[in-house]
Amino acid sequence: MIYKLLFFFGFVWFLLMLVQRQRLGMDLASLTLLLIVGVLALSFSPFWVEKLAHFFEFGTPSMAVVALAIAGLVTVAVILLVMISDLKRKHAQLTRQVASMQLRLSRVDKPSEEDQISI
Amino acid sequence: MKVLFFIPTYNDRYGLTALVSSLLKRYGSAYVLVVDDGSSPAISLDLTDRSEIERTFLVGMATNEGIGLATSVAIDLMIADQFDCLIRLDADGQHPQSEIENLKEKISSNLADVVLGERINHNSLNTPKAAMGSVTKSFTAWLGRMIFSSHVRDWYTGFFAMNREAAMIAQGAYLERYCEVQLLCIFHQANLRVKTHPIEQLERNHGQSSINWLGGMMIMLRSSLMMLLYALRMHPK
Repeated sequence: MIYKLLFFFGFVWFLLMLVQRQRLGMDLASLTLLLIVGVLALSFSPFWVEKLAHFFEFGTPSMAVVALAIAGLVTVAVILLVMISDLKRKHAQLTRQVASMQLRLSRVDKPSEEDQISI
Repeated sequence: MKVLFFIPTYNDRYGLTALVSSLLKRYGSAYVLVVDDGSSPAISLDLTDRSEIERTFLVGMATNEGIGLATSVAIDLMIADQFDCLIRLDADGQHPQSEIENLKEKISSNLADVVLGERINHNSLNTPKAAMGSVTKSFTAWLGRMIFSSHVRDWYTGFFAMNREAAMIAQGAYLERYCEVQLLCIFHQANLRVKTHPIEQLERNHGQSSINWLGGMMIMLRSSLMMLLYALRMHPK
């Protein structure tokens, strides 16, 4: 139990570090946190561990094997989410700049043009 | 005092022109910025009065980007055009226009940097969704009290006013999709004067909230994470 708690708080700390360094958005961090809570909850149920092991077609329904597979999936998910966050942030910055420029242009044009701006 | 009203909207089109027109009539020198956050079809305003057209800005995003980006666009306009006060209202008619003056008054008399319209009739337990909303609101208010010693009880209100100082502090931040809690964290962290004013939220004049039960839970999780960052002094600089 103590190891699970340590793992959980360590993972939360890791997520917060990523958010602090603006490598991960808050929405994606929340999703990842939900995922890890789900994994921890799963570890308390041998029935579901067995089901998962069967689903992944592991030879032995061992929590150690399942945990390893899930840890790998979570790692890949975090890496992907960091990349998505980066793209989302850049997209947002560009959209914001374009919106501000369009607003400036619309001020010059007013009131001769309708103020519908498309980005 | 130069005032900019900011109305973010996502598919809330009915009554929007009337709302904009009413604001512009009521406040003769104010401007209105409507940010259409990816509505389909795109929103247009049917204003006919020349003065109202001159004092209205409509920005249409190609995709749904969230309130955070829309708020950043409004803050950028406020600072670039040297407005003294930014007031945000919802497009669905839930925020009473009669209370705008009370929010504006606290800013203009320099009693506050940020004034929130705190909904006093929003704590309902009628449906599971409403109960979830009430729990979320109370939990966030409790966290705010613990972390910032904040007296704010409604951290999710979309009805607020801010002055230039607050806007300049918020301008530097990357605002998340649902940014209300994040904005308040930023304001509290900067030791700005955050005041509240009780309001009776009106019924929506059309449609329904785009936030479902699960969405509400995710918002609570996001808010808690955000506040945890501030509590641990790990917030983005």
